[in-house]
Amino acid sequence: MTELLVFHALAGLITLCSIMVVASRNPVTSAVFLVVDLFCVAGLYAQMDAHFVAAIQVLVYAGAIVVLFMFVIMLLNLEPETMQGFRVSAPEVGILLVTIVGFIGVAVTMVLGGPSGANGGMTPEVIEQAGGNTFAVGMVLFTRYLWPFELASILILLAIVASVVIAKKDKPAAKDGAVAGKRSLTNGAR
Amino acid sequence: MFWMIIFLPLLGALVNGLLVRNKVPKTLSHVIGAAALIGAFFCALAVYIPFMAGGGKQQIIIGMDWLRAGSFEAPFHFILDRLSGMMMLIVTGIGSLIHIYAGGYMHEEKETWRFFSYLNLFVFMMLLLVFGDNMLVMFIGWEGVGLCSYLLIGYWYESDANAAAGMKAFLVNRIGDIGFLIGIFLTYKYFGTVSFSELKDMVFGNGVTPVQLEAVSWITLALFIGACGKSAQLPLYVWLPDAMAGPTPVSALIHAATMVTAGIYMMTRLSFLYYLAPDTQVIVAAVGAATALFAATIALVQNDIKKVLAYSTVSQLGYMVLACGVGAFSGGVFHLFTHACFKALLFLGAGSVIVAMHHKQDMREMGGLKKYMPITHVVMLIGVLAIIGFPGLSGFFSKDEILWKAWIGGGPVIWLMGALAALCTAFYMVRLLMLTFYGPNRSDHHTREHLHETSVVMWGPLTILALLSVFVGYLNVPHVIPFPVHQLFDHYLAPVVEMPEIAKQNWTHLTATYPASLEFLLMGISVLGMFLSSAFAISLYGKGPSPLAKRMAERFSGIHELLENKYWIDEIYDAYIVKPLAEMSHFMWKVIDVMIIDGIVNGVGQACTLIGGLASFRMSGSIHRHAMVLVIGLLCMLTVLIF
Amino acid sequence: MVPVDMYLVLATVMFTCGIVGIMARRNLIMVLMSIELMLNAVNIVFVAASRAVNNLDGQIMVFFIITVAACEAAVGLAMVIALYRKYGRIDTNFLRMLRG
Repeated sequence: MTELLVFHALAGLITLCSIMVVASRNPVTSAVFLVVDLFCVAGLYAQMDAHFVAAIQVLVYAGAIVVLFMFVIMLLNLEPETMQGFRVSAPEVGILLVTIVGFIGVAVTMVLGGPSGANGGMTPEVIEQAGGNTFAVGMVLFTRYLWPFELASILILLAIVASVVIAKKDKPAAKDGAVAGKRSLTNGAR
Repeated sequence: MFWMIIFLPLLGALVNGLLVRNKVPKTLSHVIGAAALIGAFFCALAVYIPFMAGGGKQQIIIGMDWLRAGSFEAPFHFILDRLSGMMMLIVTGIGSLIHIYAGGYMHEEKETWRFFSYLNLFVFMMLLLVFGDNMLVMFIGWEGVGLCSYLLIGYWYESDANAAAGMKAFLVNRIGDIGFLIGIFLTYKYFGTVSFSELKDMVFGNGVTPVQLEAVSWITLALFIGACGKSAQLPLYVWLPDAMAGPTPVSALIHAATMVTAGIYMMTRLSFLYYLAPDTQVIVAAVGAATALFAATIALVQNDIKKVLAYSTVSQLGYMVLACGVGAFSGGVFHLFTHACFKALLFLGAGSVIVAMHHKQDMREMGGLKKYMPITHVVMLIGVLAIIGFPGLSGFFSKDEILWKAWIGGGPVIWLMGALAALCTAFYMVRLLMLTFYGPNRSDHHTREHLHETSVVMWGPLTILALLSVFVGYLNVPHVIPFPVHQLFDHYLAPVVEMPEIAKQNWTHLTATYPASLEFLLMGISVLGMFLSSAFAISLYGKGPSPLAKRMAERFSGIHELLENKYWIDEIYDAYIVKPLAEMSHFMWKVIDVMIIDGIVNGVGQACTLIGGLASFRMSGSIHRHAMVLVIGLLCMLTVLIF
Repeated sequence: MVPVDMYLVLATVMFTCGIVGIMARRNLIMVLMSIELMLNAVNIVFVAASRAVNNLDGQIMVFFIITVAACEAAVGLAMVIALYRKYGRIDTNFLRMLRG
């Protein structure tokens, strides 16, 4: 009973926040709503006994990604944009509405069917016995999914390098060989 | 202990080639190279003596696995039997002497570490060849010695001619190798194995099926083509005279004593197969005899001391091949042994002369060196006497054995060709001796001032080789000559060259008995011929090139020119084989590769770009549009999936 | 225990918000935030499914999705910064250089 209550509370909050994220004009407001949204989702995960994922969600999503968004928004000093509607032609609006409705319809159909699939054997009791959700997830992660795990670390490295390179300031090209405009790569090796 | 024999030279090669390089004085690289070989020789002795004490039975030494594909396998197994034992002693023993000598010879060269590294690597490869129990391991060694030969011939690489000579050696070898490879393939196809010991067990144990018997003729022929390339027989001998561009110790080791004998070694290893193929044997004997005579005639008029020895080597190899061809494998191998001794001696002696003459090699500029280089003179004299078959020295015993077997195994024609070649041999070797050591000295004043005997590092090994050349012959004294032991060597090698039962009917003439008088007669004829020929040479050249010699050259100027230009063989090959190939390659490159193939590949790329250009105009660039299309597509996909 | 389909409905709603956000907002950063919303919706589905079939694979998947989302947000924001520096605005109607 309490579970249902908690779920509904969280679900309502999530829905509200999602709509506000999309509808706010000020980017900062959107970002704040996004944070609340993600916290609630974390709460949802905790309620589903996925403690590890909940912690990761708070740490990474709410704690790092949205902070990153905030940084960029502040850095670029954006103005609240004027909501100008969809700016697409009429037939496209029609198609858009149809797709949205259809999407929801498909979702409902799928939901009514209910999930099917073999029972995986990791019932909450088994997990509890094994030492908790984090422990169990760790076991699976480092044995069956070790390879993707390692690849993920390489992916992160790539992302770091890529974002640094893309966001770097280009130095203006030197026209007369002045020191100020010298590219650091050719330092001394001219 | 066995592994040390093979790996000490390899170690020497690696140390000299990778570690030492230019950082240490030349003597050190010399010492490393020689020490590796001397060590290998003593290891070889340490393996050989217990082996022979135990009865000299064939042993297979298991190495590591190498190739394995289905039922085909070619592991690194090594065979130690009487034949390979003998070869390993020759290779390491004579190799050590040559390494010691080479230190003195290469004394003034730069980059000697390269030289000794390659030389050691060569010995390693040769030992692989000798010890390999299957054809593929032998082939590694086969190719490896070809590679080292190339590296060493082109040792003084700054000269284009030297580099070209190296390439020629390698390429001509490769042509022979096609035959060798075909032989390997056929052997696997018809016998199911490429291992020597297994083949021997198969043939002696179960006999041969008729299909296999027919295949054996082709197998042996193909392998013989490989031997032609490596052992410089007609028509693939052309690389050997050019190989004299390398340093003399190289010529001694590789092109006299070891590498060129690989073909004969291979044929003896497979003697049981060759006995089963009398048709191929006819070809082998004919090629061997023809080569012996052909090369001997060319050597008659050469002026470069090393070229004379090179053609002499080709000629003597012809003798060995001839012996194999008539079924006298142990005779061929015995000649291989004696030839290694006295040919190495002759080459090294010639090297001493060349060094003393400040790297001049033309005999017309030599003469009278016997008073400047007494030791070298004595050892060269012994070497020449050995090679011409002077009674009592080693060459006499081995060559006469071959000629005798040629008469009974191959008939009078083959014997005659061999005998004529022997006559020529006597002539040109005595001519060499006369022109170099006797008569007045014809070199210019400067060179004469510097003529002196070489250091002990150089004449020491020569003395040992001279002693070997004298005494080794007594290992195989024929029955007709009174001596305490007869035919030691033949008995020694008998288990290796056993004849399979099925083949015995084809070779009855070999095993029959003959009157001793026939053998004496043939022996006498060849000895008499040798004396006459030598006397003729002394009369013509005893005091330098005499006017009689010049008149003879003019009288027979046509023949003289033919011989001097080596029968124009190189030029013929160049015009009829090399040039057409070059033209065809050029055509293939310019037309087929550049125009057609590159055109196709580039064309495909351009077609893709074209199609891409056609399709890309639908993109509008707006993210929203993209997102919408994405969603619509996703929805459609989901719908399809669900229903 | 809450039935699984409720989680799915929630996720669908969140996902739809995300889609609308992509299509309706002109600011590039808002588009990125909408993408994050969508990813979260998918995460919810995964965890719910994992709970329903008693298998931990769903949560592992979430772990990786979060990782990838982080990388993608980082790189995307870097691009936003670069674009802003070059053009002065991050209006999607203006940024149509990949046209044709």
